Amino acid sequence: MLESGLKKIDANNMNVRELNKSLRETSDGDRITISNVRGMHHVAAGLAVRCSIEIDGSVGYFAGTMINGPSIKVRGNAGWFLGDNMTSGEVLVEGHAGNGAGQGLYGGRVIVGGDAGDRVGALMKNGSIVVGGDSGIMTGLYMMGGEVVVLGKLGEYAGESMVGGRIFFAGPEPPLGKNAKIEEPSDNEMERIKELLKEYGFGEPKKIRKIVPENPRYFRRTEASVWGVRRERIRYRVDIDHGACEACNVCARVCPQQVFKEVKKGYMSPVNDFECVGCETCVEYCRARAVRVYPIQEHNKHTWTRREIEEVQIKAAIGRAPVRGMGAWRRLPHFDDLVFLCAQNSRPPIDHYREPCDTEIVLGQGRVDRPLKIAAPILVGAMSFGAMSKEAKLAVARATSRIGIPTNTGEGGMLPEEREAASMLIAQYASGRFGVSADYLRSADAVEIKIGQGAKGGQGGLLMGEKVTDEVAKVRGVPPGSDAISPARHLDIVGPEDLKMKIEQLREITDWKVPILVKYSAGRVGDDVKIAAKAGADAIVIDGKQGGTGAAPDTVIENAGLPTLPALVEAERSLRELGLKDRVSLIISGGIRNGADIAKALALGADAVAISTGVLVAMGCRTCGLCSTGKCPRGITTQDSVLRKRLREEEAAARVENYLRAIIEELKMFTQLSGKTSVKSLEKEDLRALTSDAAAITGVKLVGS
Amino acid sequence: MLEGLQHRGLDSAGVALYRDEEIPKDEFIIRVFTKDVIGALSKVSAAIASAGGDIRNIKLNSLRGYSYDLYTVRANERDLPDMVKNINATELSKVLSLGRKMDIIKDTSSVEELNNNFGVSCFAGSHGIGHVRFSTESCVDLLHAHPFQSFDHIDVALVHNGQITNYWKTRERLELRGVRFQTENDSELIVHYLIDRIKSGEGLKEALKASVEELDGPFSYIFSTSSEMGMVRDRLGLRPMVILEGEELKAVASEENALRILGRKGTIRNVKPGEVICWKVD
Repeated sequence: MLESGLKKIDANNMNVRELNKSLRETSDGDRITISNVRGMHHVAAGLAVRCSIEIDGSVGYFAGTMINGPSIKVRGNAGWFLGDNMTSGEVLVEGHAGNGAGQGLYGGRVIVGGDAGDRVGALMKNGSIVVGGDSGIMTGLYMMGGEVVVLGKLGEYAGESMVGGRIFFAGPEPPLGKNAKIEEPSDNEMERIKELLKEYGFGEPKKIRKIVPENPRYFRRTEASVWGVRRERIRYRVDIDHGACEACNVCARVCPQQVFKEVKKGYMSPVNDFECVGCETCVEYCRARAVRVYPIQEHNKHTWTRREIEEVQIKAAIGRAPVRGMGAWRRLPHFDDLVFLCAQNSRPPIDHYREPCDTEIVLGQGRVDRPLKIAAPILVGAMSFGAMSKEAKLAVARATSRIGIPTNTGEGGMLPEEREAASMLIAQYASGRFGVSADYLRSADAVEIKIGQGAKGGQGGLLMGEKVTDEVAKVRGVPPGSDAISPARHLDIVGPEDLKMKIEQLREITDWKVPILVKYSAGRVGDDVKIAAKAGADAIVIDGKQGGTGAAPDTVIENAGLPTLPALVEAERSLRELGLKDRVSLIISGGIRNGADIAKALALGADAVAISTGVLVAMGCRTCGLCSTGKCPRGITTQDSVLRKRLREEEAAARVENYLRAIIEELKMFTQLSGKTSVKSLEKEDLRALTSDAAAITGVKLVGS
Repeated sequence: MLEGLQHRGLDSAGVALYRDEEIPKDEFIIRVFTKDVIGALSKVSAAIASAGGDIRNIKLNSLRGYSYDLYTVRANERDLPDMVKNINATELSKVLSLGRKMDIIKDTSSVEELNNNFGVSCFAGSHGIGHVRFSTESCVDLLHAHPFQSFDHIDVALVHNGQITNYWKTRERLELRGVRFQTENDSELIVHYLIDRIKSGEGLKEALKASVEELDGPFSYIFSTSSEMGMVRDRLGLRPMVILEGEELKAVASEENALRILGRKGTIRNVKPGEVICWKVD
C-alpha cells in the first residue's frame, strides 16, 4: 500500500479467477494498477465496484465484460468483445481492439484509441463507443440504441440491420448495411460528440456525419402472420345452434379472428369461419352452449392435402413464408411408441399408494457452490416475458415454487416480480442479450446459454414492436415499441472453443456459484453434446422439434431439426462415449406432455425433462398457434391489456400446480410398477417398442422379440 | 506460443516444423505412427522397400504403446505416394508427415506433454505452425489432429480453425480429380484443395483467394510449405486471426496473447475478414 486506496497487483502468478477475486475485494474509489496480465481473458468480468483500474500491457477476450461502475484503462491492446454487455463504467484501450468491441452494451463507455475489429457495438442498446482509428465490417450490426463514434475509416456495411441508435463517422462514406442511411447530425449532437472526444483527448475531426436506421420497424412483418390475412382456409367448421343462442355477442367479443358477426338483430352468424383457428374460446365463453367448432377432415389426396393447398394459397396471398407459434404438428416418432414392462413375479412391483418413491435430482453437483436441488426431474422451459404475459409468467413461477422445481426467465430478461415469486429461477442467456447484466446472472439459481430452440433450429427470432410495451422494454433494456432482435447465433459463439470461453466468462461473473446449462436445438446432436460437455457445461438441454415457439416460419417448424426421441438417444450416446454421463446432466424437452413421457425419457437416459407447452395447456392454451400475432385469446402470449385480463393469475397457478403434481404422480407410478424406488433407477431394459421404427431409433427391444 | 492458446482446445496438439539443415536431394524424412507390436517395424520397412525406398536411418520414438518413428529414406520422389499407400496399407501404421524439411509431430495430449515427449522447443528451424484442437464434427484421435498434410505433395502442412460447410461437395469434386482422402476431417480437405490448385499452375496467393470464394463456412487457416506461408480468414470474419509483422520475426495466431509470449517488436493487427496473407520464408 503506497497511499490509502492505491493498490498494486502483480498478476504474474495469478489465474483470472484469482485476479478477479482480488479485484472484487477492492472498494469504491480505490485506484488499482495491474501488471503482467499477459493477455488474460475475462479480466474484471462483472466487477461492480466504482474503482479505477490501470492495466499495464494487453488484455485478452471479454475484458470488462458486464462491469457496473469501474473505470478500466488498458495500456496495450484488447482481444475480442471488449466491454461486452457493460452496464455502466468505462473501458479505455490505448491500442487496438479485436472484434465485437462494446457488443450488447447497455450503458457506460468503451473507448478504443487505435483500430477496432468487426461488428463494433453489435446489438448495443445504450451507452457510447468511440474508436480513434478504423473500424471493421458491420459496425453497429443489429444496433438498437446508443451511439458509436468512429474517427478513422468506418468499415463496410456499417449499420447493418440496425433498428435504433446512431453511428457517427469522420472518414469517407462506406458502403452501408441494410436499413442504414446517412444524415447530417444536429448542432446539439455535434456539440455533445465534440465534448465526448475532448474528454478523452481525441482531436476534433473536420466533418462528422451520422448513420441512422432508415426504418425503425425494418423487421416488421405483420402480414407475414398466417392468421392476419383473409384466406381460403377451411380447417374448422363453426356452427351456431340458433335455438339455444341468446345473441349475447360474447363469441364475437372473444374470437381473435372475428369469425362471428350479428348479421341481423338477435342473429349471430359465423360469417368468417374460414378464419377459425380452433382455439374454442367461443365454445368456452358461450353460456348457452350454442357454439360448436368441428375440425374438418383431411381429404384423401395425399400429396395435395388440405393443409398443403392452404399453405400454397396463403403464400400466394402474402408473398413470403408464413409464420406461426407452437411446435411441429405433423406426426413424428415419439414416446407413444414405447411401453413399460411391469414387474410381476420375476421382480415385485412397488406399491404406489403405500411405498415411497424418490424423485429428487441435483444439477451441477460437485462443480459449483450452489448446485440446483430439484424436487422432481422437471424444469419449466424457457418462455420469455414479452412473448408471454406477465400474468402467465407469474403463474408459472408460483406453481413451480410450490412444487420445488425451477422455472426459466426465457430470453427476455427477468421480471422483478418473477424473481420474487420463483423459488428457483434459471436465467437464460440468449443471442439477443436482453436484460443481461452481471446482476441478472447473479440473481439467478442457474444460467442457461441458449444456442437454439427445437421448433426453429438454426434460426433467430424477433419480438414484434407491438409486443414491446413499456414494461417489456424496461425488462429487456430496449426502446419501447422497437423490434427486439435475437440473431440466429450468438455473435461471440461461432465455434466450440468460443462456447468454452463463454462458459468460463459466465462462471467468472457468477463466481462459480451456480450451474451453467447449454440448450441446443436438436440437429447435429452427437457433436454438439460432446462440445458442450467438454466445454464444461453442468447440464445440456436438448430441445426436439416438437418443442414450441412464440413465432417461427411454419416450414422451418415442420421440416428442420430432429424429433425429441432420436435426439435424446443420440445425446445420451455421446455423453456415454465421452464417459461424462455422471458429471453432465442431460435434460430433454420437446413434446413432453405427461408422466409416461417423462418416465420413458428418463429410462432412455435423460436426467430430467423440460416442459413448456404442457404448462401453457394447463393454463388454458389450446395450441391454436396465434402466439406470433400477440392476439392470444387465453391471455397467455399477449401484451394486450384486455386479453391479459382473461388469465386469472392465481387460478392459472393452481391449475399448473395441479398438472405438475399429477404428472409427477404418474412418473412415480411407472417407476414403481417397474419395481423401483427411485426415478434414477429407470433404464432402457424397462421399455419395449411397439413399432420396429421406435425399436430401430431407440435400440429398445421390439415387443415380443 | 502454443501454450498461450492451450485453453482453446484440449483434445490434441500438434506442430509442423521446418528444419534448417539440408539433406541430400534424393532423401526424404517420413514420420510414421505405428502400433507397438512385434514385427511392426519390419512390416513398415518392407512397405518402404517395396516402393523402392532405401532406409538410411531410423530414429525410434516410443510412447504409451505406440511408436512415432522418424525414417530417413532415399527414394525417387514420384514413388513417394505409393510408399505412403504401402505403409498405410500395413494397417499397423499411418504416415504422419512426409518431407525433406518438414516434420509433423502431433498427439492427443496437451502442449506441455507434447513438448516433454518430443522436445519440440529444442528444434532449430526456419518456420513452423502449430495447433490445439477442440473437435467439432469429426472424432478425436491422432489422425484427426492437426497439422494436416497432403501426401501428393511433400513439405506442406496446414492448421485450421473452423468448419467447411460444403465439405462433401468439394470433396467429391477433388476425388473426381484423383485426390485420395485419409480422414473425414474438413481441414484435410483444405490441404488437398490448395495443393490441387497449386499443381494446376496457380500461385499460393491465387489458390488462397480462390479458397475464400469457394469454401463455405467459418474458418481461419495457416498453410505452409518449405518456402512460403499463407493465411486466410473467412469472408464474414467468424474465426480469429492476429498477426505480428516485425523486422526479425513474423508470427500469426488466434489470439494476441500467444504473440505477446514471443516478446518481439513489431506491429500486431487483426487480419481482415476474407484477407489473404502470404509470407516468403527467407
